[in-house]
Amino acid sequence: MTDTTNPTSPARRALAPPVAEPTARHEIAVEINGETIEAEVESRLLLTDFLRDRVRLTGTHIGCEQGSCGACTVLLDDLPVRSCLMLAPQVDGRSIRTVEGLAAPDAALSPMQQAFCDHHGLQCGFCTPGFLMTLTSLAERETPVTLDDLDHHLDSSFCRCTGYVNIRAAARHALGLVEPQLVPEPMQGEG
Amino acid sequence: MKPNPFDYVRATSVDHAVELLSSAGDARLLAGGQSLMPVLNLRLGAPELVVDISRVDELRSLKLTPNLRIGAAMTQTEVANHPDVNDRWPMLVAAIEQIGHPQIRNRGTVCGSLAHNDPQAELPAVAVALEAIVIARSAQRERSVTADEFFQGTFTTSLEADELMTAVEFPEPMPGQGWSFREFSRQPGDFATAGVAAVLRPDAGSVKSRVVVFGLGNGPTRATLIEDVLSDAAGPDLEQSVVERWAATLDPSDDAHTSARSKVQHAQRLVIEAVAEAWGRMP
Amino acid sequence: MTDDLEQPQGFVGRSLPRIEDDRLVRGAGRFVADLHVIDAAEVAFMRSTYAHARILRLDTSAARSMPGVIAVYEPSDVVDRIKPLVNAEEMRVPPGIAELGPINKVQPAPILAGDEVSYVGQPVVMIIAESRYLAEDAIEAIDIDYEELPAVVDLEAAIAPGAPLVLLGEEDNIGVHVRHGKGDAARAIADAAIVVSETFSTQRYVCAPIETRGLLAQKDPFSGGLTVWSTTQTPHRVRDHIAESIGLPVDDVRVQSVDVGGGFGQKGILIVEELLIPFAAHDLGRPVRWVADRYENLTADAHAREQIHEITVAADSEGCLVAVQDRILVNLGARNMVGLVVPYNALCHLLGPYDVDNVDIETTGVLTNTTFTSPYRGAGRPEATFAMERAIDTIAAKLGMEPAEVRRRNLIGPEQMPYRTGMLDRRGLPQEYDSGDYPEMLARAVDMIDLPAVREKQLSPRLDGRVLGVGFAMYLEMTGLGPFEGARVDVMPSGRVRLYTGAPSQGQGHRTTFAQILADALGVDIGDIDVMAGDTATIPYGVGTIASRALVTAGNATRQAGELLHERILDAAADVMESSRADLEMIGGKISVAGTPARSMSLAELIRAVPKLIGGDGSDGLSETSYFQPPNYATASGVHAVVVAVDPETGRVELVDYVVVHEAGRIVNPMIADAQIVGGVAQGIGGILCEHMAYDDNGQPLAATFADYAMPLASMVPDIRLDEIVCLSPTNPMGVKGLGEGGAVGPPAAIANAVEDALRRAGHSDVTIRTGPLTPGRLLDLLSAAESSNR
Repeated sequence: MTDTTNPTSPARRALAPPVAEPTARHEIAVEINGETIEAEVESRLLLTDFLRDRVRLTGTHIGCEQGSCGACTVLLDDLPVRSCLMLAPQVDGRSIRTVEGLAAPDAALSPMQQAFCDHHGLQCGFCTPGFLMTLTSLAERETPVTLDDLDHHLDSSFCRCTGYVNIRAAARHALGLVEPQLVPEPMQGEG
Repeated sequence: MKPNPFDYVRATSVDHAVELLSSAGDARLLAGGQSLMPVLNLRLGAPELVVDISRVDELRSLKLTPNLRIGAAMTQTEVANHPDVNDRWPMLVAAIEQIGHPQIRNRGTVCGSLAHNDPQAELPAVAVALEAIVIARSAQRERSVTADEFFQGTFTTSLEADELMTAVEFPEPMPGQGWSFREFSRQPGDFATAGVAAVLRPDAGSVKSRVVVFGLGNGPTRATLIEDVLSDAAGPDLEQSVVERWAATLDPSDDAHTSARSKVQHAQRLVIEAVAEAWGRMP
Repeated sequence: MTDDLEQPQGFVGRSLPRIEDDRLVRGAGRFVADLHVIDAAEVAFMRSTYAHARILRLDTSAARSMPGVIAVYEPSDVVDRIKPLVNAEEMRVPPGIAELGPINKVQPAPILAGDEVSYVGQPVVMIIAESRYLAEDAIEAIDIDYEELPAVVDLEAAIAPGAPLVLLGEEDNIGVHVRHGKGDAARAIADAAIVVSETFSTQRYVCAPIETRGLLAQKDPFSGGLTVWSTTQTPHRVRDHIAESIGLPVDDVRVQSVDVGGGFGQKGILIVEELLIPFAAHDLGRPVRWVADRYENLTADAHAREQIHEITVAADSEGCLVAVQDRILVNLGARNMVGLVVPYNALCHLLGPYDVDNVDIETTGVLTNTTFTSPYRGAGRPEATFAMERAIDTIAAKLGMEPAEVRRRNLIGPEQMPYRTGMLDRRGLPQEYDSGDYPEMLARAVDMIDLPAVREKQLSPRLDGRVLGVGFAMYLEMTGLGPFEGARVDVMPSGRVRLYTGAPSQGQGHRTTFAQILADALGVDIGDIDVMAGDTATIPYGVGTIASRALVTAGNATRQAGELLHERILDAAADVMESSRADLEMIGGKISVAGTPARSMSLAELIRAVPKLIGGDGSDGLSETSYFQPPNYATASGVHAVVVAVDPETGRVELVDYVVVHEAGRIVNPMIADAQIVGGVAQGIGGILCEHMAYDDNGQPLAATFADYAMPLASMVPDIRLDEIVCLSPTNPMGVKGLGEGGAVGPPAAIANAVEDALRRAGHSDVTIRTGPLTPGRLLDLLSAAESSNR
């Protein structure tokens, strides 16, 4: 489906704040999805709002601004972090990847993205970018990922639509983890 | 919600940071931000100045000899992932892995958690159990504070307003030591409803121990009654009457989620488990 | 799948991957907060910090001169310009229900609190500024003096004699009341062999969609009309309310649903903010956007679920029910916002799939100084099912019978369909279940959960000290609420086909499922269809996506429109191709003479040819609009069965196995249908195990962030095992039934039943589960209380 109203390639210079703030303003240069972006930002501008409003990358979503829900998760130097708990001036000289960077526009989806589509791992899609960034970092990890690792990482984001089951299936598939039997094992530990 | 307006400065050195702390009216230190930012985002705190110490070189240090010295800007993930840390201070790693979620640990710092002293946090209890030393610096002086003296109550430490905690040091573990870290939380990744960090070691025919309970409200608290009983204990099993006597000294409050009664019940169970596990780990 | 259903011919019935997904996984969704509208101002609200108070003094002068502030609206600025809000469609009392003599007090919500605030979070001042940051700064410059008034928070305290008034202008704290039944319940109870009386309650919990509510309104630069991009589930209603409240011609207001991050009912009723934002855009001549933050979503957007059921169930010595009596209290919050919807829904679904002759249900909606409540996935059915299913298990315990067996003995059988309950449904008409096979579903659930094996395992203690339990819950749902929904299908200049309908999606996959229906009805390929739902400018009348109605109503409207358009296309093609109409067919968007594939044209070619016809009858445009009015509800149903492992030392409950057997008529996309069930189950799990929107005695919310409002996480939801049976609905041509809500209806009852089963069989015979959430702390307290009462 054609979709031309949200440009996915960011401006090289980020948008200016709507109103000048008296608090100190900072010149930053940050690499986002492989491209260097320069900006002047206020002290208190949250990284989420910088990405969404100044760089126009709206794929990173806001769900709580407390670090609880995971919708705002991005990769900072390849590690998943809550962007709502960072300030824009902090990312000067750093490298950020957002969901828009997982696949070039009109190019094939990443394996994790494709797995979400194949396994119906999203319904409204609002929490999805956060999950994708966390799971992408797991997929990129050098040390092998176990089912427990995956479960632990899945617990770090909320989804209200899917009930998680298909997200778990998509992630297991994309990470090459064997699905446990769906029929429950005989109970352990009978005395 | 969005934070109040404030000035942001990235400290370039420890000296720079402490100078800012002493000269600014109302400054807060930003290391990992996982405790500070939620507060700022709810406008529950409104400092004038936020001093970012997360990139100060001197604070980005992790030394393993003679003691484990963790600089204030080292993240929980960095410390937990270091293979030598897990070899020699496994309790620290076990506790870190209980903290929140990976994204929190990728930014949150060990020292930041200690300085914040949330009563339901894991690391203050570990610091007390492992007899850590906190190093703090102000414009005037540097000083060391033992963990026992450092934690003074809910969200309160002995850090002065103009002091920066630069590092925490965990001593080389004593030979023959056994450890345990047990925690109960309502949901995966939640703060602890109750927890116990225990270290036991044989010492001239008796057992020396540090049994530290946390989550119940006042910050990390030594279970001295249990420690006394353990000193001439023959085995890992605590008598129910002892545990109940100790439990009677606990005085948590009801909160919206868990009654005081249930908190005490968790604490009793966890102390029994922790002592047994630590005992079993003594070689 | 049963033999009833023919093999799917085309797209309906197939688990096609979703058309929506590509752009969503790329982060190219366009939610309200994402819309790039130059010059959009942002909004923050100053909200009451008291549960009940008079506003003595309000001074916004300092706020008005704060940096970046564009406008400040106090209550006095809007009271004469916007009419107070009444959710009129929800407040409507059908004639049949009116004959029951209900109370349903109309309590218009003041647009901004004037003299009196009646719950924490009530909006008092609206600030419009260049950014949300600056708007929030300005709030802090507002000077306000409150005089605190007595507040009542507890449901029972609110109706006790002498209770303080929640709303000063009212005579009491009753917002809603209705009583209904059949037979003689009192007599049957008095004569019955077994009588169980208990109080089963559901605690307050909330929808908490990951995307909060929001809207962006803009004055059209040419027409001066208003365009509103909204998270709403009911765009046409929002349009009508905006026009009515602000005094704009309804034809000049356009509401468009955009990508919406979950609704679950919360975004399906209007709140005053949804009138204020369009008003401000109209007044200021600038685009204005408000997106609730999570604090606002948790404390100041609609709450749900809080109900107390004092239920008496009577049976004979064989466990056959003879009577059900229930006194239900529903917490409406600080105002009666949606009338009889939730209370009557609970009433008319209480009996579930059971055959009971004597019924007496009285439901009262009570006001409290807490946030107003409204429908949340299930809308009274989870609460009613909890009461009834817990009562069934209590009867079973008294008789020493298997709870599943007590259920089996009381089920309405398929031979009784369509079944008249003898009571009135929500339309005020005789309630009739259209189709279903409850005994078969129960039998399958018992088999899938392997009840005998679980009972066997319960006999031996486990090494880990945990105890197993098994629980069931059955329910049915009157889905496909009317009065209508529409579908308009256009062939576009490109030859692609567009479907417009008033039922937007918040994640249910309408772009895919409606396209499947249309592809089959019209005879085009699914890839050639674009579904654009929820834009009032594209179809003039609509109701929306609530109450498990969209598939039944919009789905059937789509099929109707598609079939009509198919005919119209072939008529036009007959002229263009100079062929006999009877010889033409259209498959996959290609119109051809049957048997002569060389003589064909595409829709794109046809649409280009059509205007050139001479002597056309004026209906040459390739477009059809059709509305579907369901003649009755389509009754869906489900059985949930769960095995739990309870640790009596920690209070932790683990869901070891979870089975759902559901019945929802013809399934359009099995993958999507299954996922709707699972999503609902997760919300039900949250509701019974961890979620609680609690208040303290002063009416202060205790769960204002996700640190305190515990959401269910992935590790708490096992891989749900699903099965279905199909009983086509005779009430609509497609035979479909709604199923968006059912998943959330069963878990609280099933899990509570399982936990009690576990604890009782482990020797804690005095534990009775009366309410959730079953957090570890509460379970430990329950066990401790039971033990001490034993001593």
